[in-house]
Amino acid sequence: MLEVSGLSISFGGLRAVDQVDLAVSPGTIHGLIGPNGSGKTTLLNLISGFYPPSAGWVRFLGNDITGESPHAIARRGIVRTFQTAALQEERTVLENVLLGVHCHLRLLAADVLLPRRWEEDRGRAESSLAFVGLESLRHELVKNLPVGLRHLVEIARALTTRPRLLLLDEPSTGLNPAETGELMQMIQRVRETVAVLLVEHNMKVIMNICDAITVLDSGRKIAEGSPTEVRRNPAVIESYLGRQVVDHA
Amino acid sequence: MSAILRDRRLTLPAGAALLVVLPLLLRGQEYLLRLCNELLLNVVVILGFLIILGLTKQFSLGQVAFYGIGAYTVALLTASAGWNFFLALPVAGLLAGALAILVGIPCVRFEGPWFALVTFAFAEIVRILMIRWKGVTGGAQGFYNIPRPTLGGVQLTGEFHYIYLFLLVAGVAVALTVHLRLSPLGRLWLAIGDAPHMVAAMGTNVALHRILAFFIGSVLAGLAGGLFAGYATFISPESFTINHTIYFLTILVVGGLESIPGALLSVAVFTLLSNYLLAFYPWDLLLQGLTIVLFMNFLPRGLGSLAARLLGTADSQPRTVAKKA
Repeated sequence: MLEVSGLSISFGGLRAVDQVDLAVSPGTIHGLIGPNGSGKTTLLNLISGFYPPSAGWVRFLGNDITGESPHAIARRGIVRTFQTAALQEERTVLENVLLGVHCHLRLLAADVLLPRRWEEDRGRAESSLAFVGLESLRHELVKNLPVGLRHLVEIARALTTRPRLLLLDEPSTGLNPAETGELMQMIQRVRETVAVLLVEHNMKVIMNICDAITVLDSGRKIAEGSPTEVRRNPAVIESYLGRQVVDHA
Repeated sequence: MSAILRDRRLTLPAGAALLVVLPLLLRGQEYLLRLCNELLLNVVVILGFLIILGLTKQFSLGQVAFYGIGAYTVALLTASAGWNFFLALPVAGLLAGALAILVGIPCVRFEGPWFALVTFAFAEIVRILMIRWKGVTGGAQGFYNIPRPTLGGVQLTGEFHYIYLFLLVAGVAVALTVHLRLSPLGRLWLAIGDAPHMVAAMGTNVALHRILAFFIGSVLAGLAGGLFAGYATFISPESFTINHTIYFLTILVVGGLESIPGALLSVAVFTLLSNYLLAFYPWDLLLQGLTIVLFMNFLPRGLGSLAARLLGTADSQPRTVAKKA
């Protein structure tokens, strides 16, 4: 459903993303890994329209979306989360999730003026909250939440927009192992309706739930394949885990 | 008693009844009535400013221009073209709004200081036009003999007549702003103010919403200006300087930017104190600057948060739930 070809962007002299090809199939979880600074988040920014690519193209559901603005791309069904969860600190969990509904507000009098619609919105937000397991914290202010749960709020908010493809940027940051386990289960449940492109540093998460993995290093794609294939790929082991591991192995 | 006070269904009719009766009690007290009329005009401008700066966080330094455009539009249409005031007033509001869209389109893509600079420049251009375009505006001497509004053959004359007109417009402005603030659109606008990139990432055309908020806020400013022209019967460029924008800004900051009760309270305080403030001329601006700095530092949520605390209700902020054990 998502096809990326030859995608590149340079900042000054640095080729942050260099000729990257990528394809995400419907109903799959696609992992995106690589050492720090390898261009994972930049690639997400290119796909979601936050940076205009200097070369290459992005197609989604058969349409060329290269160079479209972030909101237009989001309306097509590609919704992202941010590495440092972008939330409204002074508002409650439920209000933050409700925003996912409000973001698709059409500027029609009926949508804006009728309180009846507001209740429907609330129902959608509540069901997303239940999906990520945060319904008991709905009235908590976001600023009181631990880092890990903030990513869940962001995912719940993204889900209320009913995306077709979810771009998750390091959602396991700040989660303990038990919570990470719950996150993995949740992402697998999401997969039934929404494809996922997952940037992650936690290898356990990546290796356990991804159907396919793309590995970046210095902006270039160095490997691609199933978790088992990628794990055995010498280029990956060298660049990602470092030479020592290879030597000791 | 408090149960009755808290019943929301009673708030509106009770409040409306009170507002109809209150001016009757003040009848004959011209000074107090004049203060009330000033207050109501300020309410309309400030609520418009609140929509722009409080909700979508667009730092407009040009609100006085839209107020002035509204005033001169009514002056020209009623005095020069012979229109009825009540026909000219909505035109004044819409013209101010249309100009806001024109100003907004090129600069909503910029954030913070750029928007402030462009709107400030626009306000200065408007003020200079008021002075230089003598044939139309009357120049620096001002525009005299603006007819008083006439409705069904009856002309508004004293302060007492105007207060009902102003109450009506201010009431509509309050209802509109409160409804906006509580509606999904208001929540979205607050989010656009807090984190525009995040909102864009969820599928919202941020530029469009910024322009819409700027439009609505400027229509309110234009309406207030139009009312002012029909009330004062004389307007001059001196009433539409950057000092007035700063005055509006001070009121909004003291009210707490986002809080509607805070803004209303702040308008009341400043209108009642305005004569005393003028006594400090030319140091009044310094006092205003000092007030802004002090409030920004020590009470960033303004009188609104203070009022909410005193009344024991959470107005603009969601209730702080005790931390989960």
